[in-house]
Amino acid sequence: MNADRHSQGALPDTICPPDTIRFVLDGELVEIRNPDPTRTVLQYLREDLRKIGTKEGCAEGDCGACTVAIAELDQSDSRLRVRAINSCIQFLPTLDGKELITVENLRRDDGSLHPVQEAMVDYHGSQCGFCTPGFIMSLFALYKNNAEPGRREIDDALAGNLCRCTGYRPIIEAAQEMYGYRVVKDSWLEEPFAANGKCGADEKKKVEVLKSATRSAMLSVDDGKRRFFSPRSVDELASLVETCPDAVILAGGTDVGLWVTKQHRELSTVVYTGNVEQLRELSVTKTHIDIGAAVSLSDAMLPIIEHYPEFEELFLRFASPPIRNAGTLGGNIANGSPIGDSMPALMVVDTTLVLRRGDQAREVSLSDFYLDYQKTVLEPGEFLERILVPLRPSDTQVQCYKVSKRFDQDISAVCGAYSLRRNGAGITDIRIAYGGLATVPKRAVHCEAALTGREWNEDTVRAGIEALDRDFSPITDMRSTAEYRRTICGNLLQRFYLDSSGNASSRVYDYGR
Amino acid sequence: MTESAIVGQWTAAPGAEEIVTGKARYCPDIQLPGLLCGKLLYSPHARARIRKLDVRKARNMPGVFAVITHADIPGENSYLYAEPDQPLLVVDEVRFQGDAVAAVAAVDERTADAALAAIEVEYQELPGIFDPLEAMQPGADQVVQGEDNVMMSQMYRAGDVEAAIASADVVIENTYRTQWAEQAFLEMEGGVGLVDDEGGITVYSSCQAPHRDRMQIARALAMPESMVRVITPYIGGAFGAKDEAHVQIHAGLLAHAAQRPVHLIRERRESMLTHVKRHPMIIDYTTAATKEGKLLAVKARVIADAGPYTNSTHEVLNKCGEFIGGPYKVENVEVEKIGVRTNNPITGAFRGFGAPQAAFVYESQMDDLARKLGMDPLAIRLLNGVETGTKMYTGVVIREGTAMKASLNKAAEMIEWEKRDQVERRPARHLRRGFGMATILKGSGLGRGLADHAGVVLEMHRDGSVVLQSGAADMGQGIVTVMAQLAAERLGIGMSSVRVVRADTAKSPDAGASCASRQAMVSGNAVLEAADTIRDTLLTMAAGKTKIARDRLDLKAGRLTVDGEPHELTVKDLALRAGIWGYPLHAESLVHFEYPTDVPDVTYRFSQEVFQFCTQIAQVLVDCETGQVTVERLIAVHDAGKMINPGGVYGQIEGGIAQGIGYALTEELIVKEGHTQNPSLENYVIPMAFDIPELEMEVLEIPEPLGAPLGAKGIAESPIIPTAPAIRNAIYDAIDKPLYELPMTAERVLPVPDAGSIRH
Repeated sequence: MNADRHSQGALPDTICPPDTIRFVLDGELVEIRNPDPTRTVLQYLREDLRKIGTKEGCAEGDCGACTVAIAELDQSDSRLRVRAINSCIQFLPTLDGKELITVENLRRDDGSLHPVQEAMVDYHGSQCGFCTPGFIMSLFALYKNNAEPGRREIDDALAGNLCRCTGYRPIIEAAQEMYGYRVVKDSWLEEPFAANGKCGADEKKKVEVLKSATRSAMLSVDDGKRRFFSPRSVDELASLVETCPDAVILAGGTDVGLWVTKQHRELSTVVYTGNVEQLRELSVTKTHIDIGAAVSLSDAMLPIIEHYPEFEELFLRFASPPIRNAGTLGGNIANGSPIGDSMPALMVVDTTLVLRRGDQAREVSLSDFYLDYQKTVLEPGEFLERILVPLRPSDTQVQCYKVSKRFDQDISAVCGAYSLRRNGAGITDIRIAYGGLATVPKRAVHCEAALTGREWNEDTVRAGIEALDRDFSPITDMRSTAEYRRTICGNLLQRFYLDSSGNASSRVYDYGR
Repeated sequence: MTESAIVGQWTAAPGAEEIVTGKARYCPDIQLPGLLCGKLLYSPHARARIRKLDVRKARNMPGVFAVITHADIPGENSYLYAEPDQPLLVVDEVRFQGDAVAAVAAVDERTADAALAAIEVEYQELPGIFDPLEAMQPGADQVVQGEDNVMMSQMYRAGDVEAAIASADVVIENTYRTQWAEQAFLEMEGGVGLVDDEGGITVYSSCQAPHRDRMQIARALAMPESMVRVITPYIGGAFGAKDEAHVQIHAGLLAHAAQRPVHLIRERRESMLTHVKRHPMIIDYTTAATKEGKLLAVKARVIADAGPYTNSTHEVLNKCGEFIGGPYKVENVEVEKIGVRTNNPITGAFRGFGAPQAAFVYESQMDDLARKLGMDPLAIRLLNGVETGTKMYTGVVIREGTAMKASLNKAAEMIEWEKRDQVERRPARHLRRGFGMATILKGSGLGRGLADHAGVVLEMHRDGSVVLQSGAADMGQGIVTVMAQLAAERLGIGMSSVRVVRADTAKSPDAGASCASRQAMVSGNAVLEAADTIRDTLLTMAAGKTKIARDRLDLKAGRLTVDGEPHELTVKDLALRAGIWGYPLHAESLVHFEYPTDVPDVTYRFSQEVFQFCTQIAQVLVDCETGQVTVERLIAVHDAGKMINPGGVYGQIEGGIAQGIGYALTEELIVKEGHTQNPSLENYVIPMAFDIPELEMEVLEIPEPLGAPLGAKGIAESPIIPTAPAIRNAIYDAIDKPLYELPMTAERVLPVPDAGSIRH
């Protein structure tokens, strides 16, 4: 990066030029004019700044060696919130207006260690140490967000980090013990989370700095080969997408990032939705959970789980915290992967999508959104604006089961979701959807038809299972076999029948640990 | 010696602070002025003839500093672990997906990628040989022209197996299959090469065997070894795969060709496609026993799919055969070891080195046998288990074997084995619970007849600080900590006074490879010997100065002690005095691992004679509707001799178990027609935090008499070995279905007998 394009130091409170990204690193505002917009945060750290503490283990968000923390203003604009993300698939301009915190930032000025680091040393959390900086940053996010995590919360906080040496136990122990260390007073980095915690002086200072880095106009970066736009309003976004229909819409970047790092694709125009005010809104109306397309999975899952507790396990197993922190529900849906985990569950609760083109909006049922492999009903210039998840009708039973090789952060072999309304024993309405069985996530319409109107009993379920063969012809791939998928989609329907008939639960969390 | 101040204490690694603050430098972190980006070009085919290879365009591109093919290698175009049959750059035929065709060095990654794309290669795809059973057939197409596909076929016989089988009350015969397993270390292989001031080549190498690397780099460059230097920076895991050389040789070649520094770091996909995997094996196994459960004979035929090149196939199969009978008294053993060339991935070292496959088989057989005889799995193991003084079928006499039965009994006690039937076996409609055990032995050290030595150089300075130079690579297993502890202990100083120079062939004597759980023993002894020399000088000097008898003096906690009481003289005082008076506080030692000479009839070649014994018991839940297995509890009782660093010992056990759980349940490279389908950490599924159950561990400290420092012995490999068979036996116990193939995926667990499922 040219020195003249990269300057450091607190800037006077001026309006930031639209071609210059601005973020906080090492306590200072950093400005970069027209960077390569598809340069990743990891490349920036390691190659441009030669900060080598953050590691690359896979360059696709699977291993977590590259984990960093991002601090940003919360909804109230008066507090910071901190999240762990994968720097290897995060594009540099998405840092605009935020603070980037790396493993190098935790060590104190006097050279002593942050409680997270100290605990990792004391409890032998490292062997080869290559994964350690990533674990440190995931633990730092946990330290800042949870005062007393149990084993399950610790497992979840670490679900984006692979370690091949320690077997995790020492790291889990470090996570349990990291709250017991001496902390430096008035240091935001070291104040652990407290439910009613006050905003300390250090945090206030950071809030002010980030406020000064907030922009009102659209960021528009052009490095000569690639353009990056970060509109602030949905109207700006709509007009951009309409005028550049070939632009890649970037939400959390957890898939698009891989297009660049793994497939070496050149993205000439990127439109980032992460700063579009309206798309970041999340509200619960009298009828729906209304989720803007740029709301992160971490945020979107909360009201969904509140209204549909049966989906909790699905969302906790959904990728990893760093991926859920960056990735959006809108991106998961619009990307249209056959194994996207949110769609079967959202289909069976009759989710509606609001699509937008120019100033025109239309509503489409999620069940009708997918046409074929990575093909949706979205027309050129059109984008996903909102996701409307109906509130749960009182007489409906729902369930979702994810089957994958590993519990956390693994792609489903099969993901099945069910919603059932009965009148006595008779099925008045049943919706069934599966991921992993076809080129798109899909409702099992033949199966549904075979069940609707009948009594909810074993014979009916048997007929439903037979009908599934007309809905799906699963394939064998590296995640599973066709036979297994065929067996499992039936077994899961049976599981739903058994769970819904008794008070049984088949959630993994309810057994073992 | 008085009571240990440092040895036996939980000790953080000397580099722990650098690691947690992000300061530790691994190969990809090395920065040098003008550093070029190196890359390798691979064939898209598993087997192909190269009809044309033209690099002129690439060479002429701006920003490209070197493009090399086989024709540009000044010396030998081959790796050399055991046999020089794997080319560094392919000459005329690509034989597996990881064979490199050309290498480039360019100003940056984009330019290097463009240079690779500009290399013109014309491949003539050839039909590959992918099934080892077909490859073994007479007349099969040869993977390497002029070489038999059966690269190794050895028969080992002890006793009279056929007669024993004929006389047996019960005979159990099964065929087992295991998978390609990937080491999945977090830091990909890398090398950084540079030309030094004298025209020699220095290579930073992420490796397990720096001195062997030096030899390989020198012979490729046709340079004397004296002109080549290999330095190990921090190494981000290895688990066997970095024992054989990888791209550090190419980094040296490129630096030499470009006359500039070059870094060559594999990407994850490239890493997974190129390095050696754990051998997939097909093992036919027969167990013969009396009706009382006494083992009479074991007969096995082991076929390993080696991939096209030899790598460490001979050595891995040697170990697999050596332990094929398990930790049991059995006199009649026949094992046929066959290594077969194919166009599949290359294979070699991975923690356990042939023993995990063997243990999966012999421990599964033990449970099958126990069931057939209606015996308890614990009882049948105790009945047949080896003990101190047992002469194995190999002729090796076990010098210290207490831990075999002690670990079984302890593990059984910890899980209340005899009460396991009182535990709820159907905690829910869809769940079945089961318990399974496995007990194993694994040798440490390279083996009888092989040069197994390590040297160190130790120097105490006038301020009492110590520098320790060793060629032992620390890939995370903690040998640096162990060596520092031993030196500090013997010299009566604190850990912070000992600096261990990470292995550097220009400074450190050869310690051999960090493999075979050997370094704590061999390098550990070398450190003790060198430290004792310095200690002796210090104490002799102190005796002269204080006029107190030498045998009343010791060094502890930084001071001279007299009859165990601190004296006013510190170690520092003594060091300064030694410096002033010219006493040398410098010692070098070279230690050979000595095998006992009183066992004339050891018949198994390269047998190991220091044993790691251990028992693990798994408690699992099987989901009958999905086939998924959850490990709920895992009991592990391991014998470590004497623990030098308990934190390190427990770390090895826990890490090994985690890998063992992956090996048992999820890990598998899926290879179709020589092409690996899942070369990513997304699709090669290793365990995460949630997958690790509460581990209940116990370490038995039974001092090892055979030449081990303070009674300590290796612990690195054994933890991974019993995990898969323990889980297998627990699944069998849970659902009454024996499995004979790894990994035990949900697809293989289903259908569960009597699960009441509607469709199976």
